[in-house]
Formats: sequence, C-alpha cells, structure tokens
Amino acid sequence: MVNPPDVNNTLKNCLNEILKPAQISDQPELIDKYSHDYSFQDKGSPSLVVFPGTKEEVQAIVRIAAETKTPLVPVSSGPPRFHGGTVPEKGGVIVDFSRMNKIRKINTPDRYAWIEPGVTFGELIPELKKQGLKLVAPLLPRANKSVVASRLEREPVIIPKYQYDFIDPLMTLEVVYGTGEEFRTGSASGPGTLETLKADKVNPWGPGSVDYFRFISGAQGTMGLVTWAITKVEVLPALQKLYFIPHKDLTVLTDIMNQLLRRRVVDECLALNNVDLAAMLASSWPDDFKKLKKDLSPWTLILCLAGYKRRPEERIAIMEKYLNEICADFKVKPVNTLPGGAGKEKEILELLSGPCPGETYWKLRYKGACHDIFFLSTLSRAAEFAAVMQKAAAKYRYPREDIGGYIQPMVQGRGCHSEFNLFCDETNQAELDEVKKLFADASEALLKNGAFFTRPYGTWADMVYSRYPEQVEALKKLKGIFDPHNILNPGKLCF
Amino acid sequence: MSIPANIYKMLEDIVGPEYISDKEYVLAAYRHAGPGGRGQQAGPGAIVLPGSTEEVQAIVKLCNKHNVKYAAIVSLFSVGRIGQPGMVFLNLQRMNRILEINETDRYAVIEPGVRHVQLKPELMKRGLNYPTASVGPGASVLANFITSGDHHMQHGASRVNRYLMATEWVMPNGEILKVGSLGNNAGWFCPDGPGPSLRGLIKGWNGWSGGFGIVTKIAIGLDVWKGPAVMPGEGHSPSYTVRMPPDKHKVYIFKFPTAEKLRDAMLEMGKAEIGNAVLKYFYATECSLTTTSANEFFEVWNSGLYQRELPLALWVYLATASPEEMQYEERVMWDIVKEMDGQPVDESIRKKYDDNIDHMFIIVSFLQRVLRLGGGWAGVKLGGDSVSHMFQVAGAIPEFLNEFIDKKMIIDAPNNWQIIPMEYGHLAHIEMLCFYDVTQPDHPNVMMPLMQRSAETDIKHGFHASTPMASNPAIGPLYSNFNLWVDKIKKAFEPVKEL
Repeated sequence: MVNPPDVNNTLKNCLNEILKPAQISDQPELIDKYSHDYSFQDKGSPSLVVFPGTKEEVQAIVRIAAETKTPLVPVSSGPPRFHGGTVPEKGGVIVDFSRMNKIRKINTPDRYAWIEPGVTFGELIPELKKQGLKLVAPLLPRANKSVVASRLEREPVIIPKYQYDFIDPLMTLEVVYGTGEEFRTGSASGPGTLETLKADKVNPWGPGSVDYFRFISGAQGTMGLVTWAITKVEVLPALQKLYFIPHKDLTVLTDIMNQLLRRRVVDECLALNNVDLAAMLASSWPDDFKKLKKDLSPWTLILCLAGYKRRPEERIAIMEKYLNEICADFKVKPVNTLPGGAGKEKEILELLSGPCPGETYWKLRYKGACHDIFFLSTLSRAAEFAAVMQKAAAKYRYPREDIGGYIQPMVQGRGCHSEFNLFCDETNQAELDEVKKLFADASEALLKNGAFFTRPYGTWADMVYSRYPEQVEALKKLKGIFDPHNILNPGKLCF
Repeated sequence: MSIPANIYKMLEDIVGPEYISDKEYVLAAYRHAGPGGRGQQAGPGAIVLPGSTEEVQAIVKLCNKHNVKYAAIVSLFSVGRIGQPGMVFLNLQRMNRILEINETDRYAVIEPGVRHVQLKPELMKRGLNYPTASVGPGASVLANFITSGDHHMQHGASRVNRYLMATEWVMPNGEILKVGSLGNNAGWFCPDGPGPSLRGLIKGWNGWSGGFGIVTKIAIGLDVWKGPAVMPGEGHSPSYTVRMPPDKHKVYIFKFPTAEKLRDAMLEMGKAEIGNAVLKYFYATECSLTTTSANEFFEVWNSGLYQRELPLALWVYLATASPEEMQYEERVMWDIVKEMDGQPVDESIRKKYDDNIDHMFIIVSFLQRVLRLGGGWAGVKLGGDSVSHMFQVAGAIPEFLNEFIDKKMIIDAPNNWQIIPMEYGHLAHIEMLCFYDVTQPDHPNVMMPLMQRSAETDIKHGFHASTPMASNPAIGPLYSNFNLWVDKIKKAFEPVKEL
C-alpha cells in the first residue's frame, strides 16, 4: 500500500491546502524515526509526517486519506517505542499528535483531567500535583509517553484499588472515525455541542446501549483517531508509608496481594524480580546494577499505604494492622527497608509517583534493547506463567537470571498483568536472533496455557486471531463501520 | 395471535413438549402491564423455555429463518412493553445454574435464570458479594447486569457495568460469540480484548432489552462481603428484623442546610474513601419503603416530618472489617459533616435501620411497596455524570416538576430524587421518582409528559441527565449522531436473509 511518488505529491498538495508548512514534513531524517522501533516489527516507511493542531485538521486529514486510500498511522508518544504499534506497516502518513498537547481542564472537586493526545506523563503529573492531585500511572512511564495513548491501550496502573474494570481510568473521548466524522462517547456525547454541554463528561458508558469507547480501546488507532480524552485522577495522599516483602516464591506474593487488595488495604501494589528492580534502581552501571541484582530477593513485593487529608496517621495505622495480620498468615513480615537495597526506599517512592527519570529509559539501561512479553491472567495463575516463561528461556539458553519480571495486579486484584523483559544487545545479531525465537516460542507456550494476550501487537496478532475466527469476524464488522476504507493503521491486529 | 402450527412444532422439537405453550391461560401471564400502567398489553404467540445455550441458538436460527419475531425474557419486570402478536418469548428461567463461584479470583459464572435470592446467599457464605441492582430478590442477576443496574451501594463500588466480565452471547444470527478472555481460552476474568473490546456490543449505559441477540452466560466480579455468613434474620417477612453487628455496621442520616453543602459532604467522603454506601435518597420513596401500608405512609408523610428532615439528607452506611476501622471512619465522617454544617436527622427515621439494614443496603426487598400509593410511579432522568453535574441537574428539577405538583397529578414531593455516587465520588447517577394514582382519569398524562418535560429541560440546559434509549432520529443528532452508528451496528450483526 506504499504510495508511488505521484500519489505522494498529490497527497502532499492536498494536505498543504489544510495545514501550514510547518505541520508537514517529508524530511528523510524525520521519516526514519517513525519507520522502526525496538520491537520485532518489520521496518515500514511513511511518506509524510503531519502534525495536526485541531480536531478539524484531523478530520480534514482523514477525509483526504480516505479519498486517496492513504494509510494513516497515529503516533502520540515520543521514542523509544517498544511494541510496533506505530510502525507504518503499509507506509502512508504518520499523524503525530504531539502538538495537540493542551491540558484542557483539571477538575479538583470531581477529580478528572481533560487532555489532548499529545499531553505526556511528564507534563500532566506535575500539573496535577500543584492542585493536590495524583495521576494513577503505569510503572515508570516514559516522560514523553502520551497519557491518552496509555489509557487507550489499557496499560496497567500501579494502584489496582482505583481500577473498577480493565479500561478504567479512561472516562470519555472524542474520536474522528475513518470516515472523517467525529463522535463523542458517554456523557460527552451530548445533548448539544461541546460548547453548550454542561456535563463534566466523566460517564464512560453509552450513549444508549453501546459502549463506543471500548471499540477504540486496544485498537492501536485502527478504529479512529482520538482528539481528546478524559481520565480519572485521584487525591494526593497526605502521608505514605512504603513496605517490602521479599520472597523467592512468587505464589506467596500473589496470594498476599490477593488478600490485601480484596480488603482494599494498599494503594501501590506490585511485584518485581531482582533484574527489573535492579535495572530501575541502579545509580551506576554496571557495578551498582550487578550488586543490586545479586543482593535483591528473587521477587520483591512493593506496597504503599496511604492516608488522606483527614486523619492520615489513623488510616495508616489501621491499614498497617491489616497488612501485618495478612502477612502473618503467610508467615512473612513486611519491612520498611528494601532487603538487598537498603537506602533506596526514598528513591522507590519517587519512582512510583512519576515518570521515569534520566535520559535513558530503564528498559534500555541493561543491554541497550528490550523485548517485552506481557499478557493478562488472574493473579492466582501468575506464578504458573512465570514458570512457563522460565522453561522457554531454558530451551533457548537465554540466561534465566537475566529475565526481567513484573507482576501487576489489576482491577482490585481480579486480574493481573504479567510482564517478562528480555534484555538484549541489538548490535549482536546472533543474540537478537535467539531472543526473537525465544520471544515467539515463549509467547506461543504462554498462549497455549491460557495467557490472555489482550493487546496483540506485531506478531502476536496472527498468533491470537488465527485461533478465534468468530471474534475476527465480529471485529471486521466493526472495522467496516468505523473505518470503511481501511485507512487507519492498516496491517495491525486482524485488519 | 398464535404462531403457525408448523413453527410451533419445530420449536417443540427443540425444547420438548413440556417447555412450550400457546395456551391462553399461559400467555395471559405474559400480557401484564409494567408497573405504572394499566390494562392488558399485546401478548406473544407462544412461550418457549430453552434449557441450554444450544437450544437458544436453535430457536434464534429458526425464528430468523421463518421471519418470526422473538425476545428473551426472564424476570417479567417490564415484559408487557415488548409483547407483540405472533411473537415468540424465550423465557430463560430454566437456565438457572450457578456454574462457578471462584472464591480466589473473585468471580461467579451464571446463567440468565439465576436470581439474586439464589446467588447472594451462596456468595455471602463465602465472604463475597456483588453490586446488587435495586430491584428486589426475585429478579435475574444477569438481566440486571446487561440492562441497567444502579444500586444503593455504588459509592464504595461501582455500577454493575464495571463488574460484567466475560460473556457468552448468542448473536442475532444465532452464532455464539464468546466475548473477552472466554473467547481466548483464558477463563472468565476479563471482558475486553484482544484488541478492540467487543464487550462494547453487549451493553452501553443501558442494555438492549433483549433486542440484540441473547446473552446466555456471564461472569460477574465479586467484592468482599463484610457481614456475617448467614443473615441474622428474625421473624417472617414482611415482619422481620436483620440486625447486623453494630460495631462494624452502622447507618447515619444527616441533613444539610443547602444542596451545595450536601454535595460537598458527598464528595469529601469519596475523597476520604469512607463509607460502603453514601447517597442522597428519595425522601417519599424512603417513607413508602419503611411503612407497611398506604395509610401508614400518609400518616407519616402528612406529619411533615420527612419534608422537614429529609429534603437534603445524606444516608451513610459504614461497614468495616474491624471495630477500630469503624471508629476511624466515624471520626472522619463527623469531621466532614461538621465542616459542611450537617446535623443528624430525627432519630425516629434513622433508628429503623438498626432493625432492617437489609432493605436499603443489602437488597431492596420491599420495592413493591412503592406501588401502594396509587400504583403509578414514573422514574425520570436515570442518567449519570459527575457528582457536581448531577446536583446541577437536580437544581433544575422544579422547572418541569412544579406544574405536575400544582395540578395535583403527582404527590407533592419535589425533592424525591436520589443521587448515588460511584467509585468514591468519581461519577454519579441521578433518578427522580414521582408517584401518581392510576385510578385517576388523567393518569395517562403523567408518565410520558413528565419524561418529555424532563428531557426538554436537560436539552435546554445541556445537561447529561439521561442517556437516549432508542435510535431516535429526532434525538440522535443531539447526542453525537449516535443513532446513525447504532443503526449501522445493528445492521452489521443482523442475520443475512435467505432469498
């Protein structure tokens, strides 16, 4: 679907009529930045990059693309990117939303933020903090990562108690479909125009008997281009207290998490293995990393108790009592000092509350590249999948002690995101080839065992969708409605 | 009008002769009007009671092939509104199995015929609970989850929409679609994905009322139940008590000088994350639910006590895991109430909850009592957005309500509206209830005109106080042209007609 030069010129001329020169680029250096990422996705070459500034410009771009049958690939976050979702498989035009970066509103009483897709974690978190609010975020997001993209992709967040379903905390959104028509979901739908609507636009459901926002979620931009979204935000705790539970047996930790979350005891709640935790905390490379990796427990459960505006100490004391009771049942004791990493506690608290600091993203510090295998399951099965991953690694002689591991309970503990990080040196082709085989084989083994690849990027798409034709058929019906010309990120998912 | 004999025979072959009928005396039970209406509605031509998903599939395919209209029903709550001559009703009451209760991962898998009175005790025994729609114990859990499902306890939880997990759906063409993790051999725990979530087809703010395929199995998410394993009931219905352990279960009711103070108290309790239930409740409905006859209602209502104490009142139900936590929540609650100039209401109103906490906060077991005052009740609004916006909507209720009160068409209860926050105040639901007498000649001029005037007020002000139900081309353009999209979706999933 790569356009020949004359089509590109026509396209560029059309786009020139609606955009300013500074909003269009075909500079090879810029184009190249969008053509690949850290995933195993094959390289794709866009012909142009456009930077819309308004919804109307997005609509005009979509209409031109529909007429010229040009693929549009939305990009909201800055590099490095890891999953191939924005690599233009079929060429076309990159729609870079980084200039649609207004924080339209922060509402303190009702706790929400209304943001455009270019707003990043690095921008939103400090703005909310000024108003006594907190953004519940994924673990260490990149500072230049789009908050809207993260919400749309249903990325897990580190405070599961605030999640009531897997799409929470996304509330409503405005979308431009592949026809160029705009739509607003939930209570943002109306009555009337955005200017006359008095609602806060926080009811995610509907309008009517369809949950339109769910079709956009997890879609990698294939169902529509989102021009703003509303996300929940929470109150900034008045007091926090951090706890660690080291253990070699992941099952014990997932059982403890389950008990803590069902009783709503903890705020931040996640488990990391020694590799991931060392990669996040190391202050010098490679010495500090090696020492931490060696000294840290195979798995560490990180928990945070919080007290809010009124009587924070009292709340923490009660939650602490529950925490100790639950841990006693498992014959473990939570501690305030990180076992194997004493002195890093304050740093961990900072890491849990903001985007990833430093110039190099944490996943790239160890070997320069990283391939993530992640999926959902119930908490009770997380350890089982970790064992499947270990077995697959052994087959390919990938050092088991080098695999990063991250277990993130979701939806108050009724679900769980498991993630395994395969760190590698991309300049070493032999190593890369082996990791690629391991990635495919381990993914297949996990899927066969019941892992739910709910965000099927790249090669996972075929792996997942080839097994479930009835779901593919239903998705294609929706795709035919919302993107009848198949111009939105073609080649992704089952489209 | 009955259905053709050959169709009847084919349906009988699917379900067996004991599970199908077109007898008049059977069909009569399916012609009743919904609450608030009078007279007999059009009835279906036959009733079938499938016992499995496969039978549901076969019936849907048969109806499609022979162009027979059908609808799935189970609780018979508003069935009179959908019956049409020659139509087939699939009564799903036989499909009443609790297929799984997973205590570790906190979900239950159920069929459509499972009722609250069946599921809830099973879960309580295991220390678990679920958001229970305010419909009474006999209603279908599945029907509540896929249609509406607001409830009194959603401050500390959410609307049932969030608790609907994986789904087995017989699509309009009769084929099965397993939505979410179920379709990927990964169990029942997740409704969304892989990729774009087909869960969006099953339910939006409300459901399809049986008009878009038939949901045959669902998993629902479970929360912890903080009460005893068996309800401590004494006596016999309707004269019984349920007294919960008072050191861990308490109900308070506070009155506030202004709606703004009431709103702020609600929001602050959300931010503090205290309270299992926090809500501004209907004061006349409360009176009808806690009195045992229409005479008793009017005795209490005409005393003026409720009008004095409850127009701007906040119900707070604290349920905790320990007495210490109860004391902490009480202290925070009082801090907030005092900050907002709130005061406890007359103790005679509150103390009823010491004996019967159940009817409000566990299951709305006396719902039928609201029909005592004349048989008519009209619910308007029924939408949701932020807590602040819901109070904005409530502020404009007199604009359309007063004319009905002035003409004495409804009971004089201008503050009979409720606002129930969800997810600790992140969003809220609003509903206004009006009581009227269906024996009065002008009763047909109450329900629909009230709904219309309410909707007009919302549109005039730009309030999102309700969600449009049907694909109405007159209303759709006001709501992002949603009607065009829903029509396209319906068309895409409709069965292909055989030529």
